[in-house]
Amino acid sequence: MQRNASLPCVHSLRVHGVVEESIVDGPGLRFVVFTQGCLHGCPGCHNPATHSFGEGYETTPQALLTQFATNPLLAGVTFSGGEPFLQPEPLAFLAKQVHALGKTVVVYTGYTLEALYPLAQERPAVASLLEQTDLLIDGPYVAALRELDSGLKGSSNQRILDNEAIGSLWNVLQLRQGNVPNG
Amino acid sequence: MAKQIVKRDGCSVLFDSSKILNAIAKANKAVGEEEITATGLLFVTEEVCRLLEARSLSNVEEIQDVVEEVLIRFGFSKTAKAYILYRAEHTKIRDAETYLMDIYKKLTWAPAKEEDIKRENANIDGDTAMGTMLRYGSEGSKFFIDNYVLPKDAAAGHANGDIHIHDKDFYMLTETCCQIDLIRLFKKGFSTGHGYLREPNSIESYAALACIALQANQNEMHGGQSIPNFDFAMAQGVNKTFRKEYVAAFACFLEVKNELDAAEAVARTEVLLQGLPYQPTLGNGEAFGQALLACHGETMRPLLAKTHLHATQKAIQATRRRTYQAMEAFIHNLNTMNSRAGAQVPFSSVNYGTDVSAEGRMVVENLLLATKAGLGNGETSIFPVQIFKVKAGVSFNPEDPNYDLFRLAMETSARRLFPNFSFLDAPFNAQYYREGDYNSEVAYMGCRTRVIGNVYDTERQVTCGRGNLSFTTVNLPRLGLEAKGNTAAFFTLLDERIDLVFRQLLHRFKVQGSKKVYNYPFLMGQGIWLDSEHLKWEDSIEEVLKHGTLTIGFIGLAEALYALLGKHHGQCEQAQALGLQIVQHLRRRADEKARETGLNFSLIATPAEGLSGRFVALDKQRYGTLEGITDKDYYTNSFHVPVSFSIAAFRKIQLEAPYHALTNAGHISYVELDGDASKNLEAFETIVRFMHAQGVGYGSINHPLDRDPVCGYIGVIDDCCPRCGRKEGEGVSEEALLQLKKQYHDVPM
Amino acid sequence: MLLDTQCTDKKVATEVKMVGAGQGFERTRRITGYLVGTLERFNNAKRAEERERVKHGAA
Repeated sequence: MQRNASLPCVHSLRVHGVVEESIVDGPGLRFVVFTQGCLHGCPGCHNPATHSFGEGYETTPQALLTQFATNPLLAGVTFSGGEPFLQPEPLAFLAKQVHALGKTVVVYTGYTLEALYPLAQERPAVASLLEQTDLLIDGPYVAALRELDSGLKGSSNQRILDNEAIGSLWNVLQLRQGNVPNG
Repeated sequence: MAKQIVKRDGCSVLFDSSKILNAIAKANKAVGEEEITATGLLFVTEEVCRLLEARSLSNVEEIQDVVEEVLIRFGFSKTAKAYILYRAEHTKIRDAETYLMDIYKKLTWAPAKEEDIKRENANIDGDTAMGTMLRYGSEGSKFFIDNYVLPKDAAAGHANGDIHIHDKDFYMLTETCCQIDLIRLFKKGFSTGHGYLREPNSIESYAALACIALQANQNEMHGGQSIPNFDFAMAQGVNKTFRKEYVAAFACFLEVKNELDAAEAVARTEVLLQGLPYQPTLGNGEAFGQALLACHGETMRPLLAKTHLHATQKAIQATRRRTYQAMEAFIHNLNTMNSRAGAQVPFSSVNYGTDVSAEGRMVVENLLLATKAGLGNGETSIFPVQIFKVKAGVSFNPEDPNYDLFRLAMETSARRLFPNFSFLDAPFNAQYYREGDYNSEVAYMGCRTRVIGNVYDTERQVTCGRGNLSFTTVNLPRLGLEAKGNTAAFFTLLDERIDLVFRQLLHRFKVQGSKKVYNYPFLMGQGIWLDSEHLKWEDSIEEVLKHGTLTIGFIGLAEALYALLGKHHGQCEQAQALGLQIVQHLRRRADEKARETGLNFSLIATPAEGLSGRFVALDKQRYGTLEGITDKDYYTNSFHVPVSFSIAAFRKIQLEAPYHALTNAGHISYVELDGDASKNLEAFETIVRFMHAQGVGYGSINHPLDRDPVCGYIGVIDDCCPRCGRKEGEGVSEEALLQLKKQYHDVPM
Repeated sequence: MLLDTQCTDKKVATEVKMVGAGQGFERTRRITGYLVGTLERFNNAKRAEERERVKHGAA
């Protein structure tokens, strides 16, 4: 997807916590932001403590970026959760800053890309975050389809989509809705 | 005042203060200076009695503690020291009867999982007959050395935990380790006892003899054995194998093509390959083909071209297959063959990665592939310790000839924990490097030992034929505690300990130097040790031993800093600055001693095998449980940031790298990864490259490495196996296992 | 990772032949530079050291 949306500066987001260096949340060493709050309620979820909206703590994209930027080993940032697409504005903003540093962005979501499309009509930042996503792991966790020895996916219904794949699927969704983009 | 005192055997006797006075007088007399007058003696004794009463103490050991305390408080520090020595001496003699026999009882009757003493070395099975026999010998030997060999101050220092004399049980017998040059050894053939082994002629024999050399040398030393130039040495075996395979395939082709009988074909081949300017090798296929054609007439050429092509292809295939099998056997042997009366496998290390020849590259590629594949059922091999040499221009950058091997090395390490990585570009290693000379490439032995610089013979700053003679470690946390937050006092105490260690190392060197070549029939008799080839059977080895290193080590820098500053070097910059100052001081003292004696005094970041718990247990007794210092069961390894401290990998590397430059007798840094590193090589490479950039000399990455012996899964297993889904101890249906077998080749069924 | 990797429920009929009951997992670790195939042979101090290691980046 093309990264052309201008992003509003957003002040805060609610996170469950961060992991400064992870090797299991995408390629290279990654800074993982676990957002707080999720509505999917997938049975067997690995991080049930991130579901409620009241827990965790408030922080700012700027604070996260500062922490991220001190570590020269990081390949990029990973948004996990919780459901990142419930707080797309601050995350899209952070992702853009991460790209400006030449690093990459991985996003986990319990929504399918198809389910994100109608959300994006209400909340433009959903599309902005997708534009800033290099690798998207989408779809709910389905315990029955659990992958025993897989890389990034939790269950086989999930997909790993790179930015280009996100873009083409998004275009298909737009065509299907008769909502052809301008220009 | 207590009327009775309780003796060590539990019985009570009448208290008699004159016994205290006499003991103090005796200790004072032994000092020869710092004289205490008769009144002084009475005064000191009275103070001891007063304290005993105030604290209602009646036990002999407690009384002696108070005597020490009072002497120190009154400023009679030398007398106090003499008293401590006198006391240690008497403790030794008194314990003689029961101590050793108690140990023998434990060794004999208690299972290893209950007795710490049987698990001193994690790679020796303390439950086997020979493992126990080895421990009897070791404990008996330590006892003899403590009581009859060691200088009194060194014995006391070791016993009370000021210092640790490593491999003390071998004090009168051996040196630590050696870097074996197989190329030299094989050139003239060698003997390990009965009979003589000729120069080997195939990669299989090269690999097998390499094992034998490691094993033979292990039995004459107390530390690990290392091959510093494994790829260069094995390349010659590959070369010979290729040549034979080429000639055989050449003859075979002629036999079929020209319908010759076998003997005729061999004879033709000999004639055709005669008189060429060089031999066929793995790397010179094209050039050799052209030389071959140029040597023969026009009519022969089409046939020769075809034959050469066929022979080359066949020989490459066969050599690759044989090299893989040889490397597989090499690893299997080093994990199963016995040394030391069968109680353990030899501690072996191999260094490689800089030979850019086709042969050397084939060796490394196949050694790595065999390591990655694992042992018979896919288990991870624990020996040899493998070290991949990282060098810009050779193996580090994508355009380097051995970069592909570096990638494979990382892939292997991400799966099997070995190889580790040595960095020849770190300035302290680069200063010795001469292109194309393996003898100038720093190698590391086992867990970290490094031997290259040579003040005894500055023309011979080389790797091969040298090793460490012995090393002794200073208990830094105790110094921190004794200094009570006073940094200047810390350095004064440190200097005293360093002096003690230097005296002790020289004492041991004298003992070692009194040995003859015939005490080391392989190490010295076969010319493995540098310059020993010039010695005769009855000659003393003292002079050639001077190529080896005498090494002072340290443990628990983190806890020492915590004792001094309330923070360790992972927590604050001031602590890091002081940490560097301490280690710089140790290094400076070692360098000065080296200049003064012409011997290779050097500084090591102690690996702490067997020592990690001893110091802290002794200090806990003396000082109690102190937060950040004695509140764990171990002291932190050398200069490492404590393993229990949460810190980003890049910070740990940045903090530890400067210590590598200071510890010229060896060092290593580890990074701990959480998760299956083999699924994220990018992360792995990022870390290794950062170590290189920061000037680390030797580094390695730890990650959990689990295996389910039922389904063969290798990776991270939390509570249940990701492949077959069983929990620890559960069964899996045979049916399910058969299904898995269809998917995965490594299901052991 | 976001999602769960809990054990799947394995209900097996009693007549099915089971393999591997009673067998544990092998855990290879590096201690003071050397690899050891089983934690049982570590001495107490080294066991404690291994137990207390924290991985980098743990929040």
